[in-house]
Amino acid sequence: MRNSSTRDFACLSCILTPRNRSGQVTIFIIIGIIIVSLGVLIYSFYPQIKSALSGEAKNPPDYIQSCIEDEIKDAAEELSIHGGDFNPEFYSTFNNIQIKNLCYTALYCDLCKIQQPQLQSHIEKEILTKIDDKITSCFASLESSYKKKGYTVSLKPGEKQISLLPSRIEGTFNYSLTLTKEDTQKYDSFTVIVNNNLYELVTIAKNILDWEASLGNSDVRVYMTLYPNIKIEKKLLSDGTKIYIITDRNSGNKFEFASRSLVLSPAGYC
Amino acid sequence: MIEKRVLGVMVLAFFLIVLIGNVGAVCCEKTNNGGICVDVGSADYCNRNFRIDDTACESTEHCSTGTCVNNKEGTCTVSTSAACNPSLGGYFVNDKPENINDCAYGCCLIGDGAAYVGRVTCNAMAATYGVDSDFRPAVADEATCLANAGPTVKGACVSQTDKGRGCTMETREECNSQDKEFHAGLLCSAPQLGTICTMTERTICVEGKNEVYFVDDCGNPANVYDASKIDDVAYWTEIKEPEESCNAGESNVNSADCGNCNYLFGSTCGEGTASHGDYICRDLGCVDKDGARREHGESWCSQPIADFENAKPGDLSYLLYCYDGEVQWELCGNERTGLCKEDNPGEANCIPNRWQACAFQNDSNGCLDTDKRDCRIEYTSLTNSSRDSILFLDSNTGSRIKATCVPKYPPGFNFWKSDTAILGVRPVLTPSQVCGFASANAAAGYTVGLFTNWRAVEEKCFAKCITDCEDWLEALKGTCQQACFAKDCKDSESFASTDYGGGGGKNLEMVDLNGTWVTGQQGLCKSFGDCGVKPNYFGGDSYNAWKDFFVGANISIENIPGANSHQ
Repeated sequence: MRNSSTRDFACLSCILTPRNRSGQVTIFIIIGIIIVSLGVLIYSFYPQIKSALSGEAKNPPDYIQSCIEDEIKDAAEELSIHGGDFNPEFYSTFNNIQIKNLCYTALYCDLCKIQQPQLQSHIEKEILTKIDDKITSCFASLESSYKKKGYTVSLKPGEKQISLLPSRIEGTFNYSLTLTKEDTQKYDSFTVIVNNNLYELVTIAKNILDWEASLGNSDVRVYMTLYPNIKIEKKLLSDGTKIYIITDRNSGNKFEFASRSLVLSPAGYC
Repeated sequence: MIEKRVLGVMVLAFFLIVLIGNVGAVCCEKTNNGGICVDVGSADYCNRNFRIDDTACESTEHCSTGTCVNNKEGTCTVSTSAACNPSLGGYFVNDKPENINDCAYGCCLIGDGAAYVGRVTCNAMAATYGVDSDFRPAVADEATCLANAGPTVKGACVSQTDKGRGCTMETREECNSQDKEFHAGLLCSAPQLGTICTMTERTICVEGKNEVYFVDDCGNPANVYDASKIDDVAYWTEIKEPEESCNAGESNVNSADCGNCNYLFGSTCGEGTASHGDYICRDLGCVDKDGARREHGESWCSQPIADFENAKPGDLSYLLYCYDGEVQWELCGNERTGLCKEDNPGEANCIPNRWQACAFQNDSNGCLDTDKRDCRIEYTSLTNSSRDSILFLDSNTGSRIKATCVPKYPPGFNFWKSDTAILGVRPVLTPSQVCGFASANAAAGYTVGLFTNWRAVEEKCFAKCITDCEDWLEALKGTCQQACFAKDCKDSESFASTDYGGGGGKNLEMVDLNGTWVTGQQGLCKSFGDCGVKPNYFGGDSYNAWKDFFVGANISIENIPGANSHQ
């Protein structure tokens, strides 16, 4: 005589019956957890797993590219909606999102002071800080994978840099890698390129900020006339802070920031 | 004369309040919540690990504005030294960008292009694009600079491939850098080049361009799609600019035969049904909430500005515009501090509501000076308040009239918090104070404020007359009071109803307000903003009724127009 759980697995219609429902639910939950865990593992070690499955290691630059590019892309997207910081300290809240005040004055009728005059450099530094651990782990796994394949591996960490460039974000990692087996392969630098137009969005943001700091406002229609692929929204908060949302119509990439400048007093005077 | 002085002092005090309210007493180099160089009201807001100064930030060395120069970014940003972080590559110069050699504008010749920018920007652009630059500081304007730009020569870039003579469309520099044959001004489909790239009936949209283009067999964009030229070898030979192509200068929206789209005229390349290929000039126009068509780039207001002459609580003015098929909106100002105005058909802008100085104008010229303020004249029946001791001057006739200068577009504010300080303003200024501009003062022996009760002032007018007639016989008391009033309280005629006292059953201990006076006072009150009794923008009831404002120990509310109405 088969026990009930065996019967349940053997008979789909039986699974749908009310009897033993709690046991079935438990089984489904366990299966679900296993599937999710597998998914997470695959996602986390995708480059390594892919290499292992394909039976041959990618060449080191491709390995680093595939290992790091998504990290850069995700970091850029996350940071962009917060005004250039992952966890902005000085922010305004819009749609429950904390958006950095990139130009600010607490006074009425006063021009704002730019809070981050080197926005592009700051963003580059933020992204680099965010992905630093990932860079280290990617190079470590690269080293490990080649060692497993019988290579003698020499890896020396070097300078790391993230650059916002037209239409792309470029990561340059001056790691020195020497692989020796039958012959010797040497790499002095690795470059990871991610297609992203954060450079263009930040350039427009800087221009808007210049207007905010010098005249207290900016006309977003000018930018939309000049750049057909750019959409800019300006939302006014109750304290007079403006939230700018710059969107690339083609890619959907956004950059959002806050500015409080030349706010008329609610009592109407300056 | 004394009242004039009092009013003068009040005005002065008001401006001092405004002045003080707008200047933070303390400058935080960094606030507790991370703000840099923020003027605040108290050192409690400042991060104690950074500098704190008992003055405005602009007066300090570290928070006064100069320029943050970053050579790598190529930026010269007006900033404070505190915000210019050297670890990011920047350095601070205590001067304006135009006075800094590296930031002053000049002509940057870069590749075939030119840009009127600063030297640091020029250098950074050259580094970014990996080309050489030539900065010419002597060029004084952008037009001259752009005229120096060399034309970008494009053409067919041919090379031998396994399949035959391959071809791509490149600039001369790009092609030469690859050691390929360059044929300026020719398309890859040009027969004389003998390439494998032939004419097709396909079209494409090209990134960064608005037109629909023919595409050759190799995937290279050719000239602008023109159905009549699909078999025209000449059209597939030489590069033609959009200006030389079909229906130039028109939008060509939804045209099946011409792909010469024009973004400024409201079209761009997009999917659609054409005579050939799958792309047409997509319409960028919009439809507004009333179903009316709006052109791409057109802007308009949510409501005509004239509607805001009778603004109700909750009324707000929005600027709307159409871009890329989508209606976008901007709120012109919280509490009607800004309003949308249509300058020309299809062109609207947000403007500030300049109502604040209206109450201080004592003549029609000053009141109606539209270069400086947005006010109008409210003719009132008001007399005998302190305001009326300086009767409004009709500048045209030179005569004194019963009138007050009031905001043309009444502002809004948090009237439901009438005695709560307006956020961020020190010392406090409350909505009741703003509404108080419409208050009558010392009227007929009473003091009054719209958010305060009327109070009889001892030994004056009504109160004095009541006291003086106390010992009279009851039957004659009214006569006594009337005589007393006629003698001592002449100014009260417009304030109080004439049927007070005497045989009418009323006496000076319960004065009916004059209906005309009350109506004028109500109008004046409403003109100063969200004051008094107004339905909100949905037509909902006002919290108060007029009887809630015209109250006091000796005031009867029975005859106040709309005494119980909340509308």
